[in-house]
Amino acid sequence: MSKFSARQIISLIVIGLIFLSLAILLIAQKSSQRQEFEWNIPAGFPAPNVPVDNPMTYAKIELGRALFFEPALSGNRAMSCSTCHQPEFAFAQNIPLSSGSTGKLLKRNALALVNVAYNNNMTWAHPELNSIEAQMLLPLFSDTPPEMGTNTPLGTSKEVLNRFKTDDYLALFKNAYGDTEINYDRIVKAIASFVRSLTSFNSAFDDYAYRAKDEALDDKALRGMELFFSERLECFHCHGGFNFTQSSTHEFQPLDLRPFHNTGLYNVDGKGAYPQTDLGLIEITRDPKDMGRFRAPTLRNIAYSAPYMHDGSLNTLVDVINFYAAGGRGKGINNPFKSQFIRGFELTKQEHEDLLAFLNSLSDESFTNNPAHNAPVSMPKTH
Amino acid sequence: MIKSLSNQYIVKTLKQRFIVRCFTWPSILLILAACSKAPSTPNILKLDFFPYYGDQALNCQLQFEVQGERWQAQTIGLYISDLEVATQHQSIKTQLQENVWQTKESGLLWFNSQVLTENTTATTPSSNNRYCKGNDENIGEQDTRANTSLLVELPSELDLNDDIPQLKVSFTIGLPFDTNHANPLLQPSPINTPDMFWSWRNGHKFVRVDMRNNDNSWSLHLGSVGCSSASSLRAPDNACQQANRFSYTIAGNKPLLRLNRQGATLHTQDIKLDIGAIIQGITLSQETSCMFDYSEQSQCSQITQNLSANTVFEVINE
Repeated sequence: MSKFSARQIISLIVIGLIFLSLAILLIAQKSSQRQEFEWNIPAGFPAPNVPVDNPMTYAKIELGRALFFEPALSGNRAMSCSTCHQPEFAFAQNIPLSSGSTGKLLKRNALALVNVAYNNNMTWAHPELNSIEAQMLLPLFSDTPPEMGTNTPLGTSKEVLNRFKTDDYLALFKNAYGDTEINYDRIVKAIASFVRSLTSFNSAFDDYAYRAKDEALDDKALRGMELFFSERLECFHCHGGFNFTQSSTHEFQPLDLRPFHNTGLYNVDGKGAYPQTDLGLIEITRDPKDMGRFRAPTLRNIAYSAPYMHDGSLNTLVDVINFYAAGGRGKGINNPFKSQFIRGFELTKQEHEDLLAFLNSLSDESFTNNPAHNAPVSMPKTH
Repeated sequence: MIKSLSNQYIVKTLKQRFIVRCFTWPSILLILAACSKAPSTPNILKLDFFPYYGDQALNCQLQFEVQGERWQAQTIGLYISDLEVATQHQSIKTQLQENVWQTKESGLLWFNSQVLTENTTATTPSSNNRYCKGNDENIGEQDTRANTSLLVELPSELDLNDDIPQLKVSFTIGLPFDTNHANPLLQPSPINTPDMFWSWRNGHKFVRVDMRNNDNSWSLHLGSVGCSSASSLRAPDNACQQANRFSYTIAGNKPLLRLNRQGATLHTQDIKLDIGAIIQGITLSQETSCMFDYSEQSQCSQITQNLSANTVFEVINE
C-alpha cells in the first residue's frame, strides 16, 4: 500500500502546486498582452454586432486610432479622418460642408461618429453600406471629388502604403495582425475597430433613464423628454431606440427598418425635387419614392455636432426645432415625398426651451474628453 | 490541406509526428509529380486594343480632335470579362492568362496618357501611332502602369490551322456580379485597383474615361447602378436596376499574325476601341459628364444606348 511516504506525497503536491502557479502566472501574462476586448458600455446594454472577419482587439484599436489622426493616409497629406471628424464636435465638423484633400467642397455635412458600432447604415443615404469597413472605402478612395484622396492623383495609393514602413508603424501593425504586412484591408479594419470603440452612454439622460438617478434631469429637461416622446411631436418615430435613430441593430435586435426620410427641407420644382447637387437616397436606389430621403442620425451628443441636416443648412438646434415645428422649410413643407410624421406642431416658448433642454441632456462630456478618443500624445512616425 | 492536417497533429507525440512526416512528404512529392504533368502552355490569342475617335487613331498621349477642338484623355480604363471564342462549329467559353492585369475571368485595359510612349522597338508593323509602349510583345515583362492588351487562352480543342484564322471572339464590358460586389480590398489584381473602385455604388467602375481640353473636361464613369444586396435568392442580373454590362463579338477576315513561343503559339489581333462610338450624340463638357448621378440620366441613357447599339470594337484589317 504505502509505496510513497506521507512526506513524499506532500512534497510531490507542493512541487505540483509550484508548477501550477507558475503556469497560471505565465498564462496571465500572455493574456494581459492579448487582453480580450471589453465594450465600454453600461451593464445591461446589448453589445454591437461586429463583423466576424474583424474582431475587436486593443492592438487593432491602437493602430486604428493612430491612423484616424494620420495625415499621411491622405494622398497629399492635407488631411486625416479627424479633419472632418473632430472629437470635440462628437467627431463631426463645425461647418456646413466639409472639403476634401484637394480643397474641393464635398456635398454633405460630416456625420458625428457616436455609437456607430450599432449602425445598420452608414453615411447620410445608402441602404447597402452597412459596415464601417465598406463605408470607409468612400472617404479613402473617392475621387470625384476626392475626400482623403488616398489615390489622388490616380495611382498614389501604392506610395501611401510605403509611408507607413517606419519602425513605429511596423510595430503597431505587427502587434495588431501578428506580422508587419501593410495593406489597405488592414488599415481599414484597424480604423473601423477604433471607430467601433467610440461608444457614448454617459449623458445626463442615461443617468436618468438607465441608472435611475432622479436628479440627473431637471424639470425642464423632463418636460422636454415628455414632449420628445409625444405623439404630438412625433420625434421618436425616426429618432427612436437607445441611440435615437432607427438605424441601430445589436445582438438582440437584428431587424433593419429603413431609416430614410424626406423631411421637407426642399421642393425645387413643386413636385418634390431636391437640389440636383444632392437628391438623397434616390441616387443609390433609383426609386423615385426615395427623392430627398436621408438617414435619421443619432441625437446622442447632438448639441456638439452643429450645423445640422445632410447639407448643414440649419445652424442651431433652435433652428432645427423651428424647422420641424413648421413641418419643413418653405416650399419643402408641401413636398409630396415628405414623411407622414412631419406634420408640424405648435410649441409655447416654454415648451420650446424644454425640448431644447432635453436635447442638451443627451450630451456626454466624457465621450468628447476621453483621452482614448483623441489623438495619441505622440503620433507614430511616417516616411 | 496537407498543412492543416499536419497542424492538427502537431501537439501529439513524437512517434505520431514521425508518422505524419512519413505521410506528408510522399504526398507533397505526389502533388509535385501531378503538377508537372499539368497540360502544357496553352496557345494564346493576344488582343491588342487601340483607341480611336472615329477614323482618328489617338496618339500615345491619347489626344484627338472633336470638331476642331483638341481633347486629351488622361485615362481610359475598361474591365473586360466573359471571354468566349467561336468557330463555325462551336463556341467555347475560355479564360484569360493570369497576370497583374487579368484574373482568369476579368482583365483591365488601362490606357494612361502619362505612360504610353511611341514604341520604337516594336517588331510588328507600325502605322497610325498604333504601337505605344505598354503594348510590349514580351509577355511577362509588363508595364504595371498601363495595359493595352488582353491575353486570351485558346482552348486546346481548337484547330490552329482551320479554326483560329476565322475565330470570332466575344467579351463583355464589366465585371461579373459577384466579383463586382465583393470586398475590393481582398480581390487579386487588377480587381483591387483603387482607380476603378466605385465604393458609393458598392462596386467597381466598368469604364472610366476622364478627358480634358483647354478649358473644359468630360468624364464617363460607368458601372452597375440601383443594385440591391447580393441575395442568394435572386439571379444576379435582377439585382441591379441597371447592370450596365455590354457584350460584343468581333471577327476578322484575314489570318491572324502567328508567332511561335515557348512551345505554344501566340496569335495577335488588333482591335479598334472607338471612343467616338461611345460618346456619339454628346457635346463634350463638364455638364454632360456621365457618372451616373440621378440628374445625369439623359446623357447616361445616350451613352448606354451607344454602348449597346454602336460598333464600339472592330477588328483592324490592314
